[in-house]
Amino acid sequence: MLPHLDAAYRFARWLGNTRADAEDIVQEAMLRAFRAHGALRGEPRPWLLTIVRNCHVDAHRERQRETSGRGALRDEPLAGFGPDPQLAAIQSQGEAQLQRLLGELTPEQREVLALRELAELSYREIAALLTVPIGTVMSRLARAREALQEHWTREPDHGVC
Amino acid sequence: MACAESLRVQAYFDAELPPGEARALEEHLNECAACRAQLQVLGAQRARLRVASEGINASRALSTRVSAALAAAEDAGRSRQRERRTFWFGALGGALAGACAVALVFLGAQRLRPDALTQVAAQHVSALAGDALIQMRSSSHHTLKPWFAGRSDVAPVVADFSDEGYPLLGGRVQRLAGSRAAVLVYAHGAHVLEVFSWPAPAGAVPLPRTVHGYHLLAWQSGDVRSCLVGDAAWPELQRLAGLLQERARLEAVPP
Repeated sequence: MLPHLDAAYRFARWLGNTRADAEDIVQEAMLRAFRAHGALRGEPRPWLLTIVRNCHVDAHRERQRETSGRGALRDEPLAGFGPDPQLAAIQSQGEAQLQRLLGELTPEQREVLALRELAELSYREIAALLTVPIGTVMSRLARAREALQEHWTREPDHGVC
Repeated sequence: MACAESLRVQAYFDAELPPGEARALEEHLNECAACRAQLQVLGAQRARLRVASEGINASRALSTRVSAALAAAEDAGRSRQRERRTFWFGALGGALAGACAVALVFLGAQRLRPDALTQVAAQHVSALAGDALIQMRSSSHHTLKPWFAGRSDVAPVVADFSDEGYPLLGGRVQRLAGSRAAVLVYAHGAHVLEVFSWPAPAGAVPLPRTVHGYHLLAWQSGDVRSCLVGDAAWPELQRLAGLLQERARLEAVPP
């Protein structure tokens, strides 16, 4: 129906958002994309996904501001696929599986992996988006993949070899 | 276990190595079991993640919600544009010379021209999301053409191209750029393609473009502007546009 909606939602989930947060982020991203479609250069899908990523960062910042205002911990990690019985009950199988697969990655590792594997951005594009050198993208990506492999080998039913 | 080349293996896997270096790495792979194993692991990871990701899809509720939000944003954009126009014409108040007015009308047309196509895209998307896609279901021009008479401001070219792979499903009438546009709905495989036609003076036809992933292809026949919209590939849109334009040419010539 709406083009790239699934990809956008998937991406928001990869970044570690709960279902509800991912939906809010996707709606905001689609609106931003709609308002800015004149700025579109090249392929629409990676463009939209980088907008999703920006909305995700903004939403997280917003949440952090709110919680720090109430005197909570400042360096709270990104909302992950934490155990939420209500949510788990309605989570589809695919979502539960991804949760297991990406389980132990840090937010930073999830992000770089999502940009590479889902958005299919080049190293250069990822570097520009995250404002880090290309070397950092490569090492971060390598660490994410090693962590993934370690996690999968430790839990045999997720292992790939 | 990891070889010193491990980062370059990853770059090779991600298709980031220039051809010369990729060839050099392929030679290295022939000799290094560790790098071959790494490459295999990377491939397996990617496959695994792809499969898991494909199980995650936006809910219908989200799709409806986003469509509604986009339609609201589209409406807001339109009324803002109207306000701007009212302001300009009010400020002018006839004080400016004719030349200025002509220039402004031209500028206004420039600004409005891309807007009609954006409207086509938005209306196509909301028609797909709702149930008002087809008001008159018919593939026959004997039925559909008279149905448009009186309902739409234009008598569009109505033709079924089932034999070419574009069966005509039906039509509807929709407000567009201040007139009642005729919309023809075609199927093409799993895609829905729509042709919007509305009265417009001959002039520069907007270039093909893509809005939210939907391709828009406009053309002009006489004083009717048509725009084909859909998520099929460009060549498939061009083919249907070609068929329609040819039909329009045939119909325009008196026997």
